[in-house]
Amino acid sequence: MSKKRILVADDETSITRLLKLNLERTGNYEVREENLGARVFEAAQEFKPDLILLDVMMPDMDGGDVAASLKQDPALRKTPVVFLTAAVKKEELGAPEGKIGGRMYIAKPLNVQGVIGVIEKTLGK
Amino acid sequence: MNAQPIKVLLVGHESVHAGLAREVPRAKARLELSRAGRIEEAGQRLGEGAFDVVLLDLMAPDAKGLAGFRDLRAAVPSMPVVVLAGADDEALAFQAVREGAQDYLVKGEFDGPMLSRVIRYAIERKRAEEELRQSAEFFKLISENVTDLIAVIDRDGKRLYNSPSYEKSLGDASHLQGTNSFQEIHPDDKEKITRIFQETIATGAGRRSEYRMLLSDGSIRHIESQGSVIKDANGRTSKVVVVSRDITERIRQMEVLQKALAELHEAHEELKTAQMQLVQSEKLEAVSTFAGGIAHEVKNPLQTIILGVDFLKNTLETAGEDVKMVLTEMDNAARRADAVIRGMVEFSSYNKRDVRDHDLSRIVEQSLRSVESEMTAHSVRLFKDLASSLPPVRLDLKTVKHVFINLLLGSIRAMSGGGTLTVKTFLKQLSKDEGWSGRTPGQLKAGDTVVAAEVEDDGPGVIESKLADKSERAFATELIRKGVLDLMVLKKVVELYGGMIRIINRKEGGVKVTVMFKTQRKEGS
Repeated sequence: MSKKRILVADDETSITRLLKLNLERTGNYEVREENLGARVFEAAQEFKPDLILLDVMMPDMDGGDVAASLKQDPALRKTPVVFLTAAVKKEELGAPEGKIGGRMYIAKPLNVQGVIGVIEKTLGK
Repeated sequence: MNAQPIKVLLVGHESVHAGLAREVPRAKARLELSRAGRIEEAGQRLGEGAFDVVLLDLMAPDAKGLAGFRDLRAAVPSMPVVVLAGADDEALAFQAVREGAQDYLVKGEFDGPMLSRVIRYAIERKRAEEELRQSAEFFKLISENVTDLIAVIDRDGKRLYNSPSYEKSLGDASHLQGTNSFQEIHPDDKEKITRIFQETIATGAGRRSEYRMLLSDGSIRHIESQGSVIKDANGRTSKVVVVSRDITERIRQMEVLQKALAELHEAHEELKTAQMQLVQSEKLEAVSTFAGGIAHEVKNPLQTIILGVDFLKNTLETAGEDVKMVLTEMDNAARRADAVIRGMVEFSSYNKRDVRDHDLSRIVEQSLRSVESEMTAHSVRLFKDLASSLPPVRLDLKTVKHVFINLLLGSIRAMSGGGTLTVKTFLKQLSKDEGWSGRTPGQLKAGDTVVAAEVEDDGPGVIESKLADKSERAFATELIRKGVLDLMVLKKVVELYGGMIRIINRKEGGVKVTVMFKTQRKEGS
C-alpha cells in the first residue's frame, strides 16, 4: 500500500513539523509542510497531495480563500481539505472534529490519534 | 421724724376730726390731717393722689354699713384704709379688715402713739400687699401665656398647681389640684417616671425625662419634662416644679424624617446595586471577549505540546517508567489546559449577559432536565429536594445553567456503575468555617444568607487530600477525563456572580458539590 500524501499548511512551524514527524513515523504517510498561505496552492500543484490539512487562520491568507482557489483548479478540485482551527464556536462544541461549511475540520488541540482518525475517515470516503 | 408728713384724710364728722386732732401732736409720726364729710367727697379728693392713707369712720353719713367702704375700695384700690368704729361696731370693723381694710381703731380707745403706729403699719402693709399683688399678677400673666406646661407637685406627687396650658391635654387646670400627677402617664413609662421623681425628691437634683401621656380620649402625647425642687426652711425638698413640653409633633416629624431617611438609604442601596450589576455585566462582557481572544492564542502552542508528547510517547516506547510517567503527566496537563481554554471559550460565547433575578430551584430543575438521558444511560437514580419560594439570586440564566449541567454531568459520570444523585436547594446562613479558605477573594463571608444548591453522588469520590483545594483540582482532572468542563472554570464563573462552589468528599462515599449565591438584600432583610 502506497503512502498517502498529506500537505500540512499552517503558519505555526512547530505544528507542521510535529504533524510531519508524527504522521510519517507511522510509515503510512508522506507529509509536506507549508507555512505560507499564499504558497499553499503552488505547493499543492507540485506535491499533488491526497489530502490537505489547512489552517483556517493564517496571517497572510485566509484558509477559506486558499480552499476556494484549490476548488478552481481542475487537478486539485477533488482533493479533500480538512481545516485546522483554533476557533471553536459554541455550536461546534461537543466533538473535537466536525464540519465547517460541509468540510471536515480538526479543532485544535487534537492528539495524533485524533488527527489520523479524521484523515482516514476523510480518505475512506 | 419723717422729713415728709403723712397726709391723712379723715372721712367723718367734725366731732371725730376734733378728737383726732387732739391726738395728732402726740403721735410719733408727723401727721397732716384733712377731713371730708362724706365718702363721695373723699373719693373725689383721693383721685388727686394727695393722701397717703384714709381714716374712714363707719358712722360717716353715706357709710351705710360697709357699702360705703366697698365703694371707696373700688374707687381707689391701692389706697390703705383704716376704719374707725364705735365700741359697738367692732364686729363691723373686723369685717372691713377682712374685706381689705388695713386695720381698725375703736373711737375713744386709742392715743397719739397708737394712731401713728396703726397709720404707719397700714401704709407699709398696703405697699407690701400691692407688691405681692403685682408680682402675683405678673406670674399669672406669664403662666397664662407660656405654652410650656408648668406644674408644682408635692412630695407625694399630688398636684398643687398646674398652669392654664394644661387645659389642652388635661382639661380645666383648676380642677387638677390635689390629683395624682402620675395618673395620666402611660403605663409603660410610669415606673421610670416615678423612679425619677423619687430620685429628685431624695437628691434635690431635678432630672430631665421623656415619657408618654395616655389621655382620657385614648390619645398619646409625648412629653419632655425638667424637674427642679423647692426646699423648705430645713433644706428638705418640699415641692417639685416640673416644666414640661409637648413634643408629640416633634417626635412625629422626626419619625417622618427617619422614615424618609430610611427610604432614601434604601433607594440609594438599590441604585448602588443596580449600578454594580451594570458594571459587573459590562465587565463580564469585556472579560469574556478578552478571554475568548486569548484562548484562541493558547490553542496553537497547546497543539504543539500535545503533538510533541504524542511523538515522544511513540518514539520512547522502550524508555523507562519514569519517562513514561513524565509524558503522562504532561499529557494530563495539556488536556487540563485545553479544558480550561474550552471552558473560557464556552463561557465567553455568552456574549449577551442578562443578569436578573432568578429562582435557583428553577435553574436546577431545568439543568436536571438537560441531563435526563445521561442519568438513564448511567443507571443513576435521582433524589430531588428543591425548596420552593427561595429568595431570588441575580445572575445570568444561561451561564449558570451551563455550570449546573456540567456539575451534574460530572457527578453522573462519576457513578458509571449506577448510583444515586441527590440534588437539593435551600436557604442558609454561612457559618464561620464555611467562608472562603482565605485564598480566594470571594464576596461571600460568614453571616451572609445564601441560596445554595447541593449535588451529591455516591461515586468513588475525589482523591483524598488534606488540602480541600488540591482535592478540588484532583476532582477537576477527573471531570475533564469524563468530558466535563474544567471545574476551576466553573468556580471562576460562579465567583463572577458573587457566588462560590465548595466540593467535599462525603464520609459515606461520593462527592458533595455545593453552589452558593448571595440572596438579594431585600428578601434577606
